[in-house]
Amino acid sequence: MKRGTIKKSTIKKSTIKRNAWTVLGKKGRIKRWAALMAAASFLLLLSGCSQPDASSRTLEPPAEDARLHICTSLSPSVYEPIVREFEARTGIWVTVETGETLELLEEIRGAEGSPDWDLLFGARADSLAAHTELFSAYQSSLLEEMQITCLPPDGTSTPFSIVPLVLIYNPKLARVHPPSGMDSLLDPAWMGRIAFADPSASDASYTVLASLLQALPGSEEEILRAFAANLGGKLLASSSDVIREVANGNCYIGITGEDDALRAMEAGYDIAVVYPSQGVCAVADGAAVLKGCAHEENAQAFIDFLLSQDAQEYIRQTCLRRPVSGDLLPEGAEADFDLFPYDLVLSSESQEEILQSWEQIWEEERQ
Amino acid sequence: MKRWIRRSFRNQIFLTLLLVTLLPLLFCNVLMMQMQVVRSEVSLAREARSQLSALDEALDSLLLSFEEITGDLCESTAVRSVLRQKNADSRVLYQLLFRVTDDEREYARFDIYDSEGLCLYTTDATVPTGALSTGWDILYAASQAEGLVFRSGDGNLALTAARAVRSYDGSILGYLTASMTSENFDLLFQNLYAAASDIILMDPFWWPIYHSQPAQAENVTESLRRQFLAGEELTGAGGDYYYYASSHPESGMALILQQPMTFTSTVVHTIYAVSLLMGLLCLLLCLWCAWLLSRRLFRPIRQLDEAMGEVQKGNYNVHLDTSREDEFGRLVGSFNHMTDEYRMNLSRSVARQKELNDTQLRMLQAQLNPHFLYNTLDTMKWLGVAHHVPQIAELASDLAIILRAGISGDEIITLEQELELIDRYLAIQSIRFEDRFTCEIDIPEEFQSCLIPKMVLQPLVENAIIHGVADKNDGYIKLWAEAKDGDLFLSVSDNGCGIPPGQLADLNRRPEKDPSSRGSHLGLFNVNSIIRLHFGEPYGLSIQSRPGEGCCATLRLPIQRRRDENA
Repeated sequence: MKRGTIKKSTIKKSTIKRNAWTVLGKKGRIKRWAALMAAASFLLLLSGCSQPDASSRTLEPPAEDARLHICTSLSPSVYEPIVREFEARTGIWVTVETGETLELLEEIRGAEGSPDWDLLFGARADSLAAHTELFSAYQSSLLEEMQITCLPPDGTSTPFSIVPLVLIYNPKLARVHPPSGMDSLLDPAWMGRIAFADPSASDASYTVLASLLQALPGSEEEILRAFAANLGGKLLASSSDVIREVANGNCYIGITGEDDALRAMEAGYDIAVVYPSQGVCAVADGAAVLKGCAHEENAQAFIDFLLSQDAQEYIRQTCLRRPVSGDLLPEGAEADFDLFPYDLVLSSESQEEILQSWEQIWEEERQ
Repeated sequence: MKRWIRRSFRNQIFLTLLLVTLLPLLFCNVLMMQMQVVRSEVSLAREARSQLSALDEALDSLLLSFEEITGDLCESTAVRSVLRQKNADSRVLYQLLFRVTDDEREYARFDIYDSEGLCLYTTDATVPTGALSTGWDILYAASQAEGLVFRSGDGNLALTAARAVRSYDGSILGYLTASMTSENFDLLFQNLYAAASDIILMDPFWWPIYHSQPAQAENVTESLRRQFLAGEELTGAGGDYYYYASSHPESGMALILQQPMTFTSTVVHTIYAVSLLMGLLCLLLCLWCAWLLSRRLFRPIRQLDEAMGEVQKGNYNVHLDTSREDEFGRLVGSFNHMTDEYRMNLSRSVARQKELNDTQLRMLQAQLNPHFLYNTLDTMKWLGVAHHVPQIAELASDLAIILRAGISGDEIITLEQELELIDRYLAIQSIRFEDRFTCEIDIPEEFQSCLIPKMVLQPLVENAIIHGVADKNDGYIKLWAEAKDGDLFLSVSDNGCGIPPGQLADLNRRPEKDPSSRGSHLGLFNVNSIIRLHFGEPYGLSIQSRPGEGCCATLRLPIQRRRDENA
């Protein structure tokens, strides 16, 4: 600025310009940046907000008191029509979780009084009786009119159908000497060819173990060891696999519920049914309201529905199960057989013990 | 971060480049992406809504016609009377049935059941067979309701609608049903929605009735039911579809349009991954550019910086090479010019100083004309001879010889010549000190021709006389020479009072390192300096002394002789 007098005017101009720029440079630049960033974030915000509303327009989810959560080991073909009919008649929305009964019971025990579900549906009476502390007692008013012999004394569970255990075999593979009774399961002729599900998960398999112990002579360990050896290291994951394994020839014989066998035959599976010569072990299938559940009334309504005449008739006709009331049998079911005096109390009381020794023996056998 | 930016110019360049390249890129990418997503979502939603309303309309009109048909038939006397009689073979009823269902038969099959659930009449091509339970499912529901009820069908049937035919007293005579298969629904909904979309029809409790892609039905409908019950947004099983739902007011059925997303999560992820990759490339490019730019800027500056340091240390001989023609090149040129100028200035001022010194010396020499001194001394000599004072004549003669030797131009003389001067000097001093000391000179003949700087022995002898033996009556001074390690050692010893240790250390100290000693011992200092200047570092003067026992001053010199003598 003080360089000389001759160029004074031009120098002045340029300094003024530079000053103006530095003013803009410090504050204006920041302001401009801030404005730019604000605009950008606003645009982003806008675009983020304007997502189309994909949720239902007029549909509202049901109220909390119109819901019911069920856990079951039954297959969808059995439980789904029952559940849907229940929904249509009562307006209560049902969600269903499936799993093996003993695993479900473990999970319920793990929830410590606040289970995810309201009702355990389709478990064997001996397994239900072994875990009465998990259930809250419910005595349906319908029970008074029905004459049911297999009722548990403390009313913690309600039977809705009776499932006899039957032997099945593949007639293509085992026609000459078909299995005849429970002792066939220990017959070395079928070694490694027996379809049997893991009893620590499936309650039906546990009932088979318990009935074996009660029906056959010999000590508990002898029988379990002989049976484990006869399985030849083969154990199925689920009891619903038994029929398929026998029908497709992977196994020759198996033991399963009568209803599963009848429905499989109706569906065209080539299997044959044998009612054990020692007498048939017929255990009731029941439902139980879980202690501390969120929708107790709805669970009780479901039990009432199961005992209703319509439901019992449906269970007989479509599920091919023996209803707890009445003399009518499902189509194709044998009426004339000896009932094995299965000790339900003993079976349920010693469930833990039997399963423990089974697991131990099974591990030893496998090695 | 701020410190990191300020610490290096390279970081500043890098950050600036990053700001001007990467930010706009990413910003544009995100903006474009979001705009595209929004645009597609908006247009898709609009499209879906219009399709859904068309589908709703089709379904509504069909269900309405079911309502009308079954309503008409229920009121019909023919139907009532046939059902009352359980007559399965009425031409009149068949004609009526086919006439009223004429328009809708391509969408549905119409059946008439008796009160036991036995099928009596059907519009199907087959003979009416089969039975339905009246205590379960659709017929039970129809028996409980006044109007038309809807249920998902059994087997290959997708949907069944039923209405109970009642007698005038209210008792149930039979049931009318209209059943639709999936193919019927395909026909009903065809061309009403985009090919990529799918239609799902749910019953009032969200169990599936119909899915235009039956293979996917189970997975999707289960997830949708779970999401609906949980009150969540409907996203289906995979999350790659939009779902638009509307409910049918009378039946409670839900019609759902499944529309594929254009920007599914995988597509969006891919786009963002590509953007990120581009960003990364940009980052690398920025780093490279920053490195290149800063190197180009920084190298000349560092060179200049180093050169400046050299200049500060006093080395003006630095010169920077550059081939650049930009500002940096000009700056380096200016620097070189500056150091050149400085160097030239320095040499000019040194030369000027030297010239000045020479002039001063010449002036001094001019002031003290030696010829004047010689003539005066000569006059004094002749006066001494004339007045028979031979000592004066001798003194003047000796002094003249010493003076001539001192002024003469030769810097290097032979030891013999130096000894001649010593003789003269001793002659003068013996007159002065009246023979109170004796001096013995023991120089072997072989050293006589050795070359030494002139007047280096004289100060030693003078020192021995004045500081050593001056106060004694029996002073003894010895001058001798010896050759050791190829060098000539000339020593002057006396039996005087010696030199105190402190002073001795001062004298033996190297003269250039402590010029302060010059003041008191100028003669010895000069001798030392002259020898070092002529012959180098290892040569010079050393003095040994013990107080009270005299001292010995030794000169170390190289043995040099005149060339012509050697030859």
